[in-house]
Amino acid sequence: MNPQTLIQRYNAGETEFSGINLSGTDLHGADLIGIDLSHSDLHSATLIFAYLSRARLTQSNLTGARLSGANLNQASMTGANLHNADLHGASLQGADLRSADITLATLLDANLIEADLRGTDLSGSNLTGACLRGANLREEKRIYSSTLAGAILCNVDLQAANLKGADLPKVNMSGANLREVNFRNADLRGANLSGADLSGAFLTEANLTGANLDSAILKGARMERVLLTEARMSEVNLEGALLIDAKMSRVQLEKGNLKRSRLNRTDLSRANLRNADLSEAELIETYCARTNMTGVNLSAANLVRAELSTAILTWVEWKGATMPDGSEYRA
Amino acid sequence: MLVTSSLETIAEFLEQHEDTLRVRKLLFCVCERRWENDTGVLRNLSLNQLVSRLQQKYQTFGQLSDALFGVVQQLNRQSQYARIAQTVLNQMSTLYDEQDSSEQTQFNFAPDNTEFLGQAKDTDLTLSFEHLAQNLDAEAEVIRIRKMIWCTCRQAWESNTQVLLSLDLPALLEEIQYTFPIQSDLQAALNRVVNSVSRPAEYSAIAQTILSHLELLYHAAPPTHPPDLSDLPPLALEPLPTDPPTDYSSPSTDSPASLDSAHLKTAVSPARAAAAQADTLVSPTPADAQADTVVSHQSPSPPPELTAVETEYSPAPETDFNSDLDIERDDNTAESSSTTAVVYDAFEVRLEVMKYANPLRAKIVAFSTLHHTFETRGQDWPHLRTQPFDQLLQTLYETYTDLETLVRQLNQTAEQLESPDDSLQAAEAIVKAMRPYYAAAATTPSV
Repeated sequence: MNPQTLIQRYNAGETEFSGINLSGTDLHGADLIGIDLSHSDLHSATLIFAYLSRARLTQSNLTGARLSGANLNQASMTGANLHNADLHGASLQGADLRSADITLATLLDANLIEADLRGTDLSGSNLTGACLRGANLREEKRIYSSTLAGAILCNVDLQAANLKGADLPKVNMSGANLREVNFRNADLRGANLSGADLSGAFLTEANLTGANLDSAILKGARMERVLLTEARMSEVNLEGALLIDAKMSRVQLEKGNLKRSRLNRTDLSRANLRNADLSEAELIETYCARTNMTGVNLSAANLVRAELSTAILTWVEWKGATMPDGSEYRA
Repeated sequence: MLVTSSLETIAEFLEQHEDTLRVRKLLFCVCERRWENDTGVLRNLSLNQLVSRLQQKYQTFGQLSDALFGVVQQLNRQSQYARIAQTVLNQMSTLYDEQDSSEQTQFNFAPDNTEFLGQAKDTDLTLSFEHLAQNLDAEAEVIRIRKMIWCTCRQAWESNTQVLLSLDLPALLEEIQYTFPIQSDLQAALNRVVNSVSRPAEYSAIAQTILSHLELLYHAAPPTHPPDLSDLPPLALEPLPTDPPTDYSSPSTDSPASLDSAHLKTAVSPARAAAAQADTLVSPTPADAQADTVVSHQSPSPPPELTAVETEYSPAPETDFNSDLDIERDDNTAESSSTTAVVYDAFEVRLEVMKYANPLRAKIVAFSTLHHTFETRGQDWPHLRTQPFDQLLQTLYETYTDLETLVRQLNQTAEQLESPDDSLQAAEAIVKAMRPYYAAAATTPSV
């Protein structure tokens, strides 16, 4: 069908167009609100700035379609194929994208607020700057299983998302808004979280081995039993974070802010804490074998039964600290 | 009849006694298990009633004697009160059986006074719990201290300041002493509370403060003799709390040793303490409410390790927390009220613009205002793609420090773009999202 015919018939009141072929057609700026194009072939079609809110696009083929600036709010797109589609700056607020194929698509600066992304395949897609607040990403093992593997998620807004147990090894979430995200048991090995804001996030038992957290913000984060071996965390902000029983051997924590954090029973062997601020922190039974604590600020810290015998302690500030034997530091 | 007339006689005698005020204090304490210093209150007491209650409470003369001297032993002016106790006993002996009254037990207490406290400063401020309560109330973190004590005794969290201040602290301290007869028990209990709040670091320090104050309860001078409560008859207290629920602590149970060090000081800077104090006495601002919701609504299904106890406690500590930590967090939510310093939050601004305008249109307006008019048919697309939207918005905010100018520029630009109507709407959305950050800057003095 050619685009003019479509628009004519649509303006005349028709909305049922399922199963038609519109591949490669130019429909930029077209007003097609609520149209039914389910099962249609729209591959490589141009729909820039098109109005498609509440449209039915279930099982449609939108491979390589140009949808930048399109308005797809509350559209129904379950099982649609959006592989390699361009959705730069598109609006998909509240859209139903369950089981859609969005692999290698561009979702740069897209609005995905409250979109339903259960079972969506987002592998390799570019979600830089996209806003996913309130989006449903929940794994429902028997039915859906969405994946963000290999997706680019820089500067993405995932505040308060539920990513419990998510598989996100090597994901790039630098600069992202991850405040209060639930990452419990998540696989974030080798992930890039530099500059990300994880204030108040839950990272209990998450695996962040080898992850990059340089300059990340983790204020008040809950990270009990987290795996951070060999992670990079220079200039990280861990103020008030809960790191009890964490595995942090060989971690790079230069100039880190760990004020009032709790590191009880944590393994910091061979970690580099040069010039880090650990004032008022709790290091009860913390294992600091061969830990580099040059220039560390330990004022008012609690080091009862901490293992410090082989740590490097040059220029450490000890004022008011409680020493491993329980006594208060005396100059 | 005989008993009643005896009661009246006794009451009258005690009334006439030169030290009648002390008599009232002592009898009141034996009956109510707390010390009253207010003269007005004391004078209003009916000695008749007090004596009658004592008689009903203590079936034998021996029990009465133990009760009276049990209290005397906890006071500082033991010699004076011992004399008074003896007087009362002499008077009340007639109320008991002949055979009992003949065994007037002379209580022999050790000459070295078992004092709970050091010096009593003014005249009859003697009973330990009262004094301890006053010391705790003098602390900067008094509200938090009361919260913890209440929680330790009742396994419930109270965040209402008025309620907290009106709690009978001496009675609670007495309860604590009874429930946790050894210091390590109290340590463990406080620890459980610390582990169940969402700001364990802060409350760990509070627990330490409490322990150091209550140390006196467990280490009366000389330090090797903890007070022997077996002398006291059963305390007429409210029902004691049941054992804390076993699902209390989070999986990472801190060993009680985490509060071992008696030397850990609560390093609360004066400014911070004052701020915390001020905050707790003020009704919650919208920012506090925001912090509350931000904290308590993490995700659709809360992490299972948070027990019911924890989700009950977590909002409360957050709302009263007024350190730098929370102020910065409040800054990061654009919905925060103008009472807190507002720092530009790129994520919030972008969110607000996206909610009310087409993201691409808004991006083009921002781009065009900062660079050059965007050509949809032209070659500007690649350039646009490399400019992240939140960065464009932030540059706008930084370039136009005056809201009026920003509005003018955006509108001018929008009018020249294709689809001016949609572009103007996008411009409006940008202004709306950024307005709070301009308003705040206007009210705060320029640097």
